Amino acid sequence: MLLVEGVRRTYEPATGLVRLLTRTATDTTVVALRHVDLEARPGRILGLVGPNGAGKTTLIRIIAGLLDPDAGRVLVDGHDPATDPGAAARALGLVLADDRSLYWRLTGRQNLEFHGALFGLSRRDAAARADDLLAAAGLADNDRRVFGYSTGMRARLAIARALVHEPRVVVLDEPTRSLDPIAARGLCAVLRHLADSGCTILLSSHRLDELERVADDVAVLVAGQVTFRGPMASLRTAGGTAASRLEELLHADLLPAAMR
Amino acid sequence: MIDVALAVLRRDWEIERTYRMRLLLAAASTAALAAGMYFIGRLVTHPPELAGYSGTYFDFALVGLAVTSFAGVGLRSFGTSMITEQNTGTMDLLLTSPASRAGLLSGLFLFPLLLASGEVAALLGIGIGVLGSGMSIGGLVMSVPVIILTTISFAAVGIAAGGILVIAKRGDPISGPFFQITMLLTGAVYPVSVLPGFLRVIAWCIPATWGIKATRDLLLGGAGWRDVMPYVLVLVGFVIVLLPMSLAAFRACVGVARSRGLLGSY
Repeated sequence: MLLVEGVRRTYEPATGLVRLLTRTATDTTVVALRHVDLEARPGRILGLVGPNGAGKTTLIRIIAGLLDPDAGRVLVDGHDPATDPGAAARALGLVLADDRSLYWRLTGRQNLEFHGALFGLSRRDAAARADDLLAAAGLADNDRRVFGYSTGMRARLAIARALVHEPRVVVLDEPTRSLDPIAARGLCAVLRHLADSGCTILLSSHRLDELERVADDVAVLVAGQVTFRGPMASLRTAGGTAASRLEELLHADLLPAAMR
Repeated sequence: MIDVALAVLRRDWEIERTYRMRLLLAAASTAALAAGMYFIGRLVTHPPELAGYSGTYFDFALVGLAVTSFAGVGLRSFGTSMITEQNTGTMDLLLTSPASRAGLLSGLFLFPLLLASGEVAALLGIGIGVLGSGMSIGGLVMSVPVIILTTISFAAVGIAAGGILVIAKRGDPISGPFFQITMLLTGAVYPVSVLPGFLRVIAWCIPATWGIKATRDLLLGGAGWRDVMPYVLVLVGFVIVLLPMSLAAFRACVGVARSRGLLGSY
């Protein structure tokens, strides 16, 4: 179970010592998340959709414990990353949008084994798990240093890495961004399999047709607020797909008020 | 904790192996340094300030450089690792793992420590085996705890500097200046006694001064473990005071970075 309750987050300009040491991302106050409530349940895939800048990545970084919320709380399989980071981290498999999070000068296998060690797996268990995941990701036959991987291979390795410690909750930030359609469908099948085995999955994506195929529930995040939340099936109307309804929901909020 | 530290060591070794020239250049640099000190030692023969020590200026400087080399590892390895992890984008991976922070910090320190140990061993090997330094092997063994304490006390400063780099990203305001001051004041290549009085006072506030003095006394001054015990106790004091302070500072810096949204950026 992944629970997000009343999460707010504002980016403030740096002050004091922080201002002396570095520049932060903004020189003005930016409200990234206004009041976000979400619930992703075991055995189901929650699709998270929203335009660029809606706050999806901020929300995922808060779930991962990389950023503190100003208010509200997150529970990852019952553990709050802010107060119980170790247990929350063990329950969470994370795929960030940035494929630089891999060690490019290590092989795929070494990346997985190192990740396993960070999560407390013995060397033997980490090696066995790496074998399974490399095979599942289609990377077993060509284990080379990651800088020699294609973009799609790196995306698949990042997903395999998130699964090394068999997390109860998996959060993926645009995992299919770099995948070709066949590989993207393969990933969706893997996510379905994970959900069917009891895993809770949050999938952030801009690919609405893909979300319609794989997600059980969907949340639309626009300007830091959830504007729709419910089962994907509820968006399907006679003669229309859920993807087209999602697009309408996104566009309705994206259009400037004067153009509506 | 040990498993995590060893995993980080294996990772660093595997990564380092892909940069083949670096290890060769480090070895060449060590040999050049030893040769340079040897030739300077032939010019500087038996100055009165070194009267208490056996051997030549070469032996004297060799010990100072060996100890400051370890101190430099303690001081710089965390900051260097932080910058590397942030630049490569792998910092998020470490911070979102449940691995103990102590294990991670120790691991980040292990490979540079082994590299420095190799360099110092080569330096001493060249000095003793090729250039005829007269250091006592027994003294070498006895000096290991002194060097470890010196390294840890510098590591404490390095951890605090690493914390600042989590926020500042570049421009470590501590390690670089601190190492320059260390080389200038702690008697690495000349005795502290040649410094003006006020600088001597400052020198004895730096752990390396105590570490270098104790190591030299063991290796070149004929001292035993009991003779250097006062220096060792001072080094233990530095560690007891500095290490908890630096770990607290590091945690505070990570907390500030997390609240400000600075983790993972570079």
